[in-house]
Amino acid sequence: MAIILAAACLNALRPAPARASFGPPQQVITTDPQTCVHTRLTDEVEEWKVQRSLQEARELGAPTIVEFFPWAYIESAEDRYDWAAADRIVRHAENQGIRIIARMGLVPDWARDSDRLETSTLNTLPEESYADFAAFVADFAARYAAVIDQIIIWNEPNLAFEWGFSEVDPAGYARLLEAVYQAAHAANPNVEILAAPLAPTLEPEGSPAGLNDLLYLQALYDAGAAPYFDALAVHTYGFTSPPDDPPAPDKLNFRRAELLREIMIENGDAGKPVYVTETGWNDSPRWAYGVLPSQRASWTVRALQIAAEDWPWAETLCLWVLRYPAPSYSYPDDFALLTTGFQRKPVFDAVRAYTQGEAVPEERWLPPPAAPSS
Amino acid sequence: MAATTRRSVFLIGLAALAVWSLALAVGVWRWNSVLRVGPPGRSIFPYGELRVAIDPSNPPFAFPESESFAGIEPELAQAIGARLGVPVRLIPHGFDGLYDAIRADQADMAMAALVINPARSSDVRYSPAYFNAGLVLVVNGETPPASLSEAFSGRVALAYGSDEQTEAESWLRRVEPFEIAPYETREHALDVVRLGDADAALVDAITAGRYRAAYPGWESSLLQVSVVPYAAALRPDRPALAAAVERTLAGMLADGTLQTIISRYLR
Repeated sequence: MAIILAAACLNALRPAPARASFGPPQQVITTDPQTCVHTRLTDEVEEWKVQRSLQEARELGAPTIVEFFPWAYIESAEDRYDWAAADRIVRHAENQGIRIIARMGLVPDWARDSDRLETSTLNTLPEESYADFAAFVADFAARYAAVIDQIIIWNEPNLAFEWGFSEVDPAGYARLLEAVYQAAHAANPNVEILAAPLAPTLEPEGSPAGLNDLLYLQALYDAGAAPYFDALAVHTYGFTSPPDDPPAPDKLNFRRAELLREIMIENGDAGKPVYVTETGWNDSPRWAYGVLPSQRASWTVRALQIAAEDWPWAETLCLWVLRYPAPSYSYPDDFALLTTGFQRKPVFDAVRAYTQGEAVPEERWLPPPAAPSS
Repeated sequence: MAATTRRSVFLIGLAALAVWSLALAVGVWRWNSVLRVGPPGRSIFPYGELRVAIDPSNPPFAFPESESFAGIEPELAQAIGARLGVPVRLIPHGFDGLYDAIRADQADMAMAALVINPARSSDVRYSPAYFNAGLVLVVNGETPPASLSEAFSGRVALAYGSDEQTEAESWLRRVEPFEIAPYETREHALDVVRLGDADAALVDAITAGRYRAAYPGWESSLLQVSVVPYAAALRPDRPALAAAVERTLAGMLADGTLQTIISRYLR
């Protein structure tokens, strides 16, 4: 009895969990409404970090975020939904005055082939489960109607690993779009279905790793997908090239998005908008495709200017990525605008100054020493 | 007489059978008690090779070289394969797809600067760590400070907006005030220490190792600040393979092979 009492007393002394109470509704102030940032809030455990991340997005001047809402998390058992984490994100985003573009994907165990469960991945969606996925998207669209009206269907299906390590299949993805489109529009007539962003890649036909994004997009049109998406999501990364570098089919750079746009126009889809849902540079000192922090900062701002001036068809330019809930301790961490500990990186300060119409901030680091390393 | 002879023959035969059985039992016991290198079992390597997923965009751990791959992890994988007597196939992958490659049985093992992540313990089994990529303080001289409290003093150079800055700011709350000197890159932070304009640089162990390898004449030493263990990830349903890799890595650590490979790229 004494032990139980002592345990109860100790438990009462435990600090209360950090709370994230809502403040007054906020508005995003920005000179560039295309500015957007991809967040990673779904995997965040602590609510105050969700709130802090969205506050940082607002301070960045981004009126829009892209967030991932995995099917496997929300409907882990058939017809049993847990919306708590999604609701939490939506409430905090609304409080900060931020619009959400939702990305859908990740297949729960029950919707995968039970005979292949041990070797299939969360990106393995059997065709017989397309209707289940469509039903989930419709439920999501209905629940968040008027709050989330843009939904991305899948991610980078032109990469084998994003297609469950099966051969990439534009016609199969077209059938997935067809399955989703009617159901989602019936649930929310204002919803925009975004065809999946394709990974920028030069993989040729027959490669086991994937397929060139330009070839894949054309194949998608050839498969008759056009009536089943309202807009195209695009991933375009700068890698080691500056943002003004002209596009070419055999080159991966920021303006490769213009080539995807040309394919849309050639296929009679000029009236549909584009949402660039991932872009940016990486300032890892070691990654083969990393650049200096100063280059990353100035190139990112210039990319936003290019989109604002020359890409009227682009609704958003979303930077990958605001912050990771946990670090990988490898080069992907250097895509973040904030460290996991909420330390602002130089690119964050530069984008914030741009969206607030301020002068580009002075470099906040010391000049290199007189005899620097080569 | 005939009956006696038959009985003798029977007894001799029985004795011979007993001796032979005993010899067989001893032989089997001795055979099984000796660890010998031989063709690997199909249960360990069902594809007859060790398939290792690597990320060749991440030097010095893996990078392309003359139509193949070089770096710490390809060398380590080849050394493991050689000790296990099995050919190694290196499979290039992007970082994002590494864990899925294991799950989908596209690879037996991933070696790609992966940090042991308890949240993934149901998906993969990690090997013992083969490298610590945590933060280090680099100082001039061959004798490092006795403690971190002593090392976080004077002027500490680091990369602006980095995890190191967060770490240093947390130390500011624990020790006597010291000056944080932010630079654009980690290499610049190391430059100022080498040139005598700062007392220490706070960087990750990989940057420190590469920089010190680039300046072999620089007398400097390291003090570990944090632990970030890089390990191989394997399928959890192949415990025999995981055990074989663990034993092999332990052997390579004990006989210095691991350090020899790492020191070809980092100091």
